[in-house]
Amino acid sequence: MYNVAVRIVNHAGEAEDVLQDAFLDAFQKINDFQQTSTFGAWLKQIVINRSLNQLRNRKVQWVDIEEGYEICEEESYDEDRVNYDVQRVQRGIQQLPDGFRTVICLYLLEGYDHKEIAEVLGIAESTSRTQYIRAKRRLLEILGTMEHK
Amino acid sequence: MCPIVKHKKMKNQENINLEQFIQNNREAFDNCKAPSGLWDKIDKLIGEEIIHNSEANEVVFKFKKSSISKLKIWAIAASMVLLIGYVSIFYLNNKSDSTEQIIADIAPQYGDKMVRYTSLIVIKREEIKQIKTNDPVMYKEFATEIEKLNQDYQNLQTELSQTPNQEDLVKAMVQNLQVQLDILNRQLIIIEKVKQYQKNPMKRV
Repeated sequence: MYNVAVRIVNHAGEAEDVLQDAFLDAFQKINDFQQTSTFGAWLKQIVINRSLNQLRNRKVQWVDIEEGYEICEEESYDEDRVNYDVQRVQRGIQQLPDGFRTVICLYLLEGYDHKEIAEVLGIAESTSRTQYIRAKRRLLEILGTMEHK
Repeated sequence: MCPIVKHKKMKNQENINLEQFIQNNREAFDNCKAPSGLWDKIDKLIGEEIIHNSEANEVVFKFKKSSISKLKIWAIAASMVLLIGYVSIFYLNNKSDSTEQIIADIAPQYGDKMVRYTSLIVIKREEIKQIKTNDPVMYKEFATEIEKLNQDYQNLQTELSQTPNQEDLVKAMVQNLQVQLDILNRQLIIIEKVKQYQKNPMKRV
């Protein structure tokens, strides 16, 4: 749970606050817990929502892009040639701007699909997709520059 | 901000993309340890919340006390308990006889199931009752949840003698018992998890 919060808010102290609030929230809302999901999943959802609220307070905007927007600028970074290593990928994710980082974290690490991301961030599903592609490209760029250092 | 954990580079990683890499190493990404005091803090916060809640309840109780004299309250309470007791014993005896009769007549195959489920429910509820002293708040939450279903069950039972679709209703009753059992099982799992967590609070939730 702590990892989820740290990843999204990208700040150890704020993640602590988020976690405290989330647990208190969960405790007060225990009546709303439906048996349709596991307790862990339910709790994680609260942690994620709280983390996102924390980001919203920092005025992060998930930019909406008009419908029908096509991604044609796909001069893809050659992702096969990047050398991956957990620590480096983590550092790369930390360097992403808040908006990109959230989408990457939710999609790659928390296992949300674009529909769920769109719902939880209040954006269109297409926006989530394009944001994800851009975020991933940025991340690969960051990883690429790390490698050359 | 996180402890640096060295990971061996994966072999054969040239042909792997970012998604696959993260999938393969998902566990390794959860390497941040929560600061040591955090879980204690949360524990305390929730404890305070419980106290706060029970204080709120006390206030209500005190308020009621002041409006009517103590003796009267006890008299009213005692007579209510007696009345409810008599009525429910009378009612239940009557009802359960007739329901058992109806079930035996229209759907004898469900009779055994229902008896088995009901006895399991009683056993499990007894088991859950054991947390009442240690964790009255959780117990109350759990008990009300089951009580709601139990209420539904009673309603079904009262409807049984009047409905034209008795077999469907009996099915619904069996289903209700199954749901109750399912929830009780989940509650027991949660209790077990909480126990483990209390034994070893540093472990990830």
